[in-house]
Amino acid sequence: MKFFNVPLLSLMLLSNPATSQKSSENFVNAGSFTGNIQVDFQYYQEDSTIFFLPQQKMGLNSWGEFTYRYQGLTAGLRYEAFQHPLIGYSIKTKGQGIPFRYINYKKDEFEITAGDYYVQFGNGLLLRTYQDRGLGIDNALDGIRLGYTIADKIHLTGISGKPRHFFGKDTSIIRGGDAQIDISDFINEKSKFKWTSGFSYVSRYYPVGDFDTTYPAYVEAYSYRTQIGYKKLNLEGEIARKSTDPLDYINFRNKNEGKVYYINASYATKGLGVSGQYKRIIQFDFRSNPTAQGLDYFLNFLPPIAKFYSLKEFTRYPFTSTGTSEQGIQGEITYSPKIGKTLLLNYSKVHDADWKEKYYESVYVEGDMKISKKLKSIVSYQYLDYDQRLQQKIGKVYAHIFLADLSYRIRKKINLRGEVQYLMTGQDKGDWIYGLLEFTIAPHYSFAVIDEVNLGKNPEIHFYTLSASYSKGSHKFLLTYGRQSEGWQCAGGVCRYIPAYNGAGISVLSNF
Amino acid sequence: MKKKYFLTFLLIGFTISFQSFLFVKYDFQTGKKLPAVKVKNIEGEYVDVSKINNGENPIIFIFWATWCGPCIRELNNVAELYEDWQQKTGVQIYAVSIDDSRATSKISAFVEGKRWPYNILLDSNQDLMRALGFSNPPFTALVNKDGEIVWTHNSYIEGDEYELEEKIKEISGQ
Repeated sequence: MKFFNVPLLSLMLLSNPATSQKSSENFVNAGSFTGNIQVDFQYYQEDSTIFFLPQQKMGLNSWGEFTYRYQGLTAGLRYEAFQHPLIGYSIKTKGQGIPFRYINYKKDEFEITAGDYYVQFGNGLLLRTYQDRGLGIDNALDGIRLGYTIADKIHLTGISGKPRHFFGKDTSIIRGGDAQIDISDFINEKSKFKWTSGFSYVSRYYPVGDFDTTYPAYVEAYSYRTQIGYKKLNLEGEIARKSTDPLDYINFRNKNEGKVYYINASYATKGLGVSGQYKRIIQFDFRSNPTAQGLDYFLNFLPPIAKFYSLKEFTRYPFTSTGTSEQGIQGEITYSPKIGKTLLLNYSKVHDADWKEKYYESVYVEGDMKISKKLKSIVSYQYLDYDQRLQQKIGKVYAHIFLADLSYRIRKKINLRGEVQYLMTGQDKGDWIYGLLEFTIAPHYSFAVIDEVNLGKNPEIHFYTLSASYSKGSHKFLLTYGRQSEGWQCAGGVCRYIPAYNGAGISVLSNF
Repeated sequence: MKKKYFLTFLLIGFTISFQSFLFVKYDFQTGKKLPAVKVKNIEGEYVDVSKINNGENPIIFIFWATWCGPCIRELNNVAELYEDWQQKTGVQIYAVSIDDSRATSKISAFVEGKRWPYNILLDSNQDLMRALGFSNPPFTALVNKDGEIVWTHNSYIEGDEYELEEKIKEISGQ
């Protein structure tokens, strides 16, 4: 190693362009790194008045997601830990690990994903995999997804994979394809007449024993959808079919074929929007595993034909699709003479597929008013007639639900808001009243006091909650303390039941 | 002999490349571009988010859902200031609905019925939401003229629209 020439080496080092130029000229785009952290922690305390005897002292759900992007390449993973899942989450969610990791590459019209991915075909009647942390849902597929776009007008997707089941994978294999064609763009891209159409196909392979005839090895489903828009009018429809798919607890091993018809029409002009929907479903609950129960193993999404709510008393009896035999209509009118002043009417009714038995009927009226520059109000009312026998719950419920919400802007960024909800019913636990007072200083601070009483059964028990939050940009901290009544957490028509509990909570949410 | 020459050159080569690796500054921040994710417009056609641009002016994405109360408050309050913002900064707002697929045509009726003056996009399987890394609406993202996300905010309280206003003016150099 005599040739290890020190002067020569130093010369080479000095002449290295990386060191000789000014550092500001040496930026190299190394791609982007983004992610988010969410930690939900709860500390429980025994509360005999609501018969709450916690089996665990604390609960902790946490997620950490990291994504790296460099030109056409995206790679990401999510670490999850539910060593003691929060109350209301299934005990099956218990565990920790990296259930989600993938590499995705895009170049021009072509795209490939290897690993875990979420996908939806059309309206999701055949296939919808997604994640909702609040609901404890994640049915990501682990496999391959291919995408190809032709002339910006034909969009093709092909998938194959195994669905996630908590911290493991299901035994079934899901394969499928989707094609969407923007037909009107072939004729004239500038035209006000828009027409798109799509076809989807999904097959589920479930390993069955040689002599087992309870379940078929293959279940196949396909659908056709179309959407036509012309100026203020919009028309949309989808039909779907599914081969025999007996499921254990959902349709009592019914061997009929599955069918769905779905129509959606709307008219929209400045200040007035009218929309109407019709839906008919027969045996279309599609699961990756025929032994599924509850929200387990679902593969598709049957859009509920009722308005979605998120307020506490309006979600006490939330509507859920039966998936086996259902027919429904919905109409909605939104009218605003000016911005901030809106009247909304919604009517929905759901029967069985033969229109013999009524499951659900709801009338909803909402008025948003700006009383003065500082004072705003929302008042709403819902009449509900819901037969919950199908969900094996408490039978028929008739209810009147009211909301009054007043918001007063003290200064530009300081606000005081009060809210009262009242639920009136002769069934189940009778009447409920809910009150909230919220004081906020934008953009950082929010404080709230909530009290809720079940007037029908236990008028002396107060379900009170105190909460405070601090947010800065994309970081948020939330503290809560108090007693929560049982209820449903709903997002987009899917709900998770949370039993009554007492305790303190800390949540941290951060995007970077 | 030849082998030794070769080894020396190899060593020098390595040293230089390693040095370049150390001394070149790798910049992650400026790379925070809008992701190339497809969402749909109100007509049901696919739109590549990374290709959305507003010339020399900023863009705001506000994520919302028909069932999300704070989102509707935010969009109502921003709607009243939007004209003023547009005149001063040329900003364009995209209200991205994360409502599920049930409702392409229901959403256009809802938005028009509310007189909201926004461009509407539908992220019905929440692909864009995931790519931006948040899990609950409302979520607001401010994008500069180079298509880079420069500010984000999760949740909405009354008065937050004035913070957004300050941020838009900041990046428009006002």
